[in-house]
Amino acid sequence: MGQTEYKRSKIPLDPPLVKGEFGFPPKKERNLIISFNNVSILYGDVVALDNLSLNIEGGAIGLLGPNGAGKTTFIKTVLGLITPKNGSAEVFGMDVVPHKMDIRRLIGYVPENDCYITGMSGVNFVAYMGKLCGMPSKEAIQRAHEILQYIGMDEERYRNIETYSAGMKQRVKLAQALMHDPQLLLLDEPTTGMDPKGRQEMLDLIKDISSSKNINIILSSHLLPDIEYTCQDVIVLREGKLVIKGNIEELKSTHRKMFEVRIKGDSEVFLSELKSINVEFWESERSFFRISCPDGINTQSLFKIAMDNGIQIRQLVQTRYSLEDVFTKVIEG
Amino acid sequence: MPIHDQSYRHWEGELKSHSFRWWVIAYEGLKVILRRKLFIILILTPAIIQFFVFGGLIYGFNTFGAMANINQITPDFFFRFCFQQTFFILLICVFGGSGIIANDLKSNALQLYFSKPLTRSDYIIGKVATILVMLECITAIPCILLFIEYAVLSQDLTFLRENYWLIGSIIAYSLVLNLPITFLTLALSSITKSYRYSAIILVGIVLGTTVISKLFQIIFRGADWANFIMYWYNINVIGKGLFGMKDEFSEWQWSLAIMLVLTIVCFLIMFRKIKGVEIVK
Repeated sequence: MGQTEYKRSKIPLDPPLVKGEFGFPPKKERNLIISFNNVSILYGDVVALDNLSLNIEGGAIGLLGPNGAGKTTFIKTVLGLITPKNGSAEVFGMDVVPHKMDIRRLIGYVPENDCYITGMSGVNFVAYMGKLCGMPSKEAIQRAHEILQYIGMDEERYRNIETYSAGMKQRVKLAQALMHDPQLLLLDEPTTGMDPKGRQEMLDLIKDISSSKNINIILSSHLLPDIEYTCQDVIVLREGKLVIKGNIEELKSTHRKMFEVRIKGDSEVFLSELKSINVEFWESERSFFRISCPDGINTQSLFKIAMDNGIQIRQLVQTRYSLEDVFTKVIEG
Repeated sequence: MPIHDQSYRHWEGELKSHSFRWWVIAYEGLKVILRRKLFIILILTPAIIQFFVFGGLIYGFNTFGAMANINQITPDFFFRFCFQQTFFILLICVFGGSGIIANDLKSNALQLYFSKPLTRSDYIIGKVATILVMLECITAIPCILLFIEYAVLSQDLTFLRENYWLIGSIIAYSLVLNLPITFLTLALSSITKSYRYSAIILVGIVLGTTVISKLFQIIFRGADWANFIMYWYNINVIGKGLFGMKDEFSEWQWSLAIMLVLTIVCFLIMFRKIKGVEIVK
């Protein structure tokens, strides 16, 4: 039986925090934390991950994809719960198969669904999770109080965890994941079941953790605004393959210009003219459209089309591409 | 750090080695069970009272000479103490053990356990230890204390010299009493999310085998082999073998083999079920 005392790992993942654009560390100063090289995972005949190759650098990364895209399998693989059939997966430079225990020391995981230990108070539960990671008992209790304070749980921490509301359970799950001071936090739908106020507080916490506490996060969520708010990078998976990966702002800016247009006149003529110059459009209501223009088409072009066809443009507002637009586009291929 | 600072701070301590991580699970499991006052009052206390009754008998025998029903303190005396604890063993397993894994399944706790640096073995050993510690506290430990009490109160060392092997028998028999039922309890607990179902099936198996055995004996007109179906019969036979009372129970090896098979089957069920839910949803 090895009696090795494990010093808290000091893997040099992140340099001292330097805030960059959007309040996150600049990309160039983040180091590689996850590296998948042609990883394939099969459940019987179903391909969950299909020769997935990707490198993830530190920071806050959103994980997106439709149901069955392989997000959960990706998280399972990072935690070392699933062995890749082909390829190699490394987390913090360690192979996930032989070093899964070492990797789990460095990872905090917030599962999606309700999970707790029955018969325990919040503080005992969080301390217990710390002890399971190897924290000494007294330090675990002390740190459990600190973490619960940080996530905003006061007297509730002494109550039985089974009596908690959905929002409080989400907070406690986050607390248990932070107990051993992980270097990577895996969050699976962390705002599920929370009211708007609680959701915003949770997102603020996650943003604070990633931006000023030097903890890398991977946030898997179906709520695109959550990812847009908390993450600077995004990974989109579809059918076990990487569809897109990059900085959210860059992804949004590389797409076509979007406008909201309100006109007075023959909308059918206007739309057919737009179609002829490869402008995509969505009719929101009568005479009001959302249009997406290819390169070379600008506001002057739109005004010219309107003028040539005797149509008045009553409103023309350039809008930003949202993450949802990017996501929809890449998923639709 | 100022006292008003409630922000997150990094932890700079050292993580303990992995070797005794199972004990954390066992210790916390015991704390949760022993927090139930009714469990302590109605189950553990009577089990411990039994120890004081037997202790009183030993004291009385040594102080006042032979008492009613006790002509001599023999190996049979210690065997009887252990066997009489079987009622409390069953109660502890039903009310303390049946929810040990079922509750974790119900509350999806396994994904929390296995996202920590824990192996399946750590988890299983921890859960086994949770029940086993309680059961040993009402069987092996008090029985050894009774043995020590009698040895101390004896006028000379004759008893100790002639019966020192009883310590081994007590420990071995306590394991025979406790291990199969522990694994049976945990196996049943791992196949359902409801501790009630788990408890009902446990009682059904332990007591139901007696009924089935009796039925077979009626149908097959006193077939001796039907005794081996009875859970407590096998435990009794092994005990008599271990305590050197083989006169009418010479087939204790068969009973031991049956209990061994039961334990292994239960272990395999548990191992398989816990692996089956080691999934991050």
